[in-house]
Amino acid sequence: MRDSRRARLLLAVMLLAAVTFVVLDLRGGSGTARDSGSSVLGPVERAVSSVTQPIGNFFGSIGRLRSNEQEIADLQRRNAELQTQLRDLDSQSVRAQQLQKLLKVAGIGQLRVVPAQVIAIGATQGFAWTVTIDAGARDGIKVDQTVMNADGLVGRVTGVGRSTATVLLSIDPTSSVGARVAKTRQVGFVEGGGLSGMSFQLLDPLAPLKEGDALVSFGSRGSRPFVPGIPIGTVTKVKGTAGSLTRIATVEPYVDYSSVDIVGVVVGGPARDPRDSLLPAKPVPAPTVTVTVTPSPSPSPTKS
Amino acid sequence: MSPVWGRSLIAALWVVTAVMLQVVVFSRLPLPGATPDVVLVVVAGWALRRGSLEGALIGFCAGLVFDLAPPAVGPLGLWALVLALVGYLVGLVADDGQRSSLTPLVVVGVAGVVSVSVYSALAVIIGDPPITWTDFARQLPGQALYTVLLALVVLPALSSSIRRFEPSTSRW
Repeated sequence: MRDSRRARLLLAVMLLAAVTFVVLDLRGGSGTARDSGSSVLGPVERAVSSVTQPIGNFFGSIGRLRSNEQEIADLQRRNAELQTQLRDLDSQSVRAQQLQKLLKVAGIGQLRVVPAQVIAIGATQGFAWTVTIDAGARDGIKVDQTVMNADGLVGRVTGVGRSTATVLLSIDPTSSVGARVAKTRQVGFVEGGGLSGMSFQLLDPLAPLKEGDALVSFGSRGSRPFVPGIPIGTVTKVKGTAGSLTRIATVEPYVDYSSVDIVGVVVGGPARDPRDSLLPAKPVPAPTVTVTVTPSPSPSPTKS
Repeated sequence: MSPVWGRSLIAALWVVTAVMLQVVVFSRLPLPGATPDVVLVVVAGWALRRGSLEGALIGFCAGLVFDLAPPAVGPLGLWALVLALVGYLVGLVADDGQRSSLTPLVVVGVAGVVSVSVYSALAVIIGDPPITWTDFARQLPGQALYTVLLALVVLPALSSSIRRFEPSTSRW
């Protein structure tokens, strides 16, 4: 077939030409050809581009839009993860801090404590201030053991399950704790008052009592339900004067009952009364700075 | 205007348009895998319609223009070589006659794969441009797919434009 032969011949010629071009180019002799190609085709490309650029941009932005959306979704997911982690970390570090403080205090008082976490809080509507902790009989917890945290007395164990226990908080109205004024060794009772806090009643109405006095637990026989020396709170207000029949003081508890989290159940009492050693250190008053300003005559106005 | 001149003009128009579209539009589309090779589709389509002689010729010219169009950095003449070969081969298939409506699409798709393969092989042999095996393998499926998709659009337009200058007897 004539056409086919011609085609083959043409193909051979063109392949040869192409190879020649390639070889020339590889030897570095294509500069002028490329330059002229650029100068001819470049302007055409520019013209075409000016027409198609908006279209290209449109398609390009569609592609980017999709990847942007995906990226945003990814970032949002990661952000949420990180925030959860951060919150976790925050609460973990707070817990670790509380636990450390608790163990430190227990160490000072030579108390053997089982650390536990509050897992449920009794409804205030039940008028009983109780919490559930995640330690129970299998952890060696028995009824009528003292529950404390790093700040002071939390309450006592009133019910024990296998792995949980119920704690009656000291601010429960039915709770009554033998207490001692740290400085004067005077004895009395701290009674819970629910939302209104705690009150302290001295046994000896003539004994001195003033605001700011710290109270620690007096301790029960056999250290149950209360071991001695656990900080309870400070006296904030004394009602009635010395000698009146009843002298009742309101007490600001050391423990923030609304945010009790890590607690320790005292399973082994102290060998001896720790007395006041568990009380928080008195805050050192910051030195007050007195600034004296001497009035100096101000320059009289020069302009009226 | 004689049919030959008319057809040459049409062919030149198609080639330049294809190269421009290729360089300006298709290279910029954010498509995964490969860039749609509209130049190849035009060459293969023309060869399918007009036989291996014109196929080789238009392939050579289109390849040369493509090699010269500004952003090109590969060896000058490499695409000319590849597309001339592809145009010739596609033309051989077309000469066999016996076409169903599906055959052109398959032929063009295969041509797309062959052109990329041959180009890559030659590039590897002469070491310019540097092509790695993974680049090549990643490009093949996309290349085949886009070529067929482009052929769906380009081939009918190409056929109708050729038919205007088609002489009764097929001769160049």
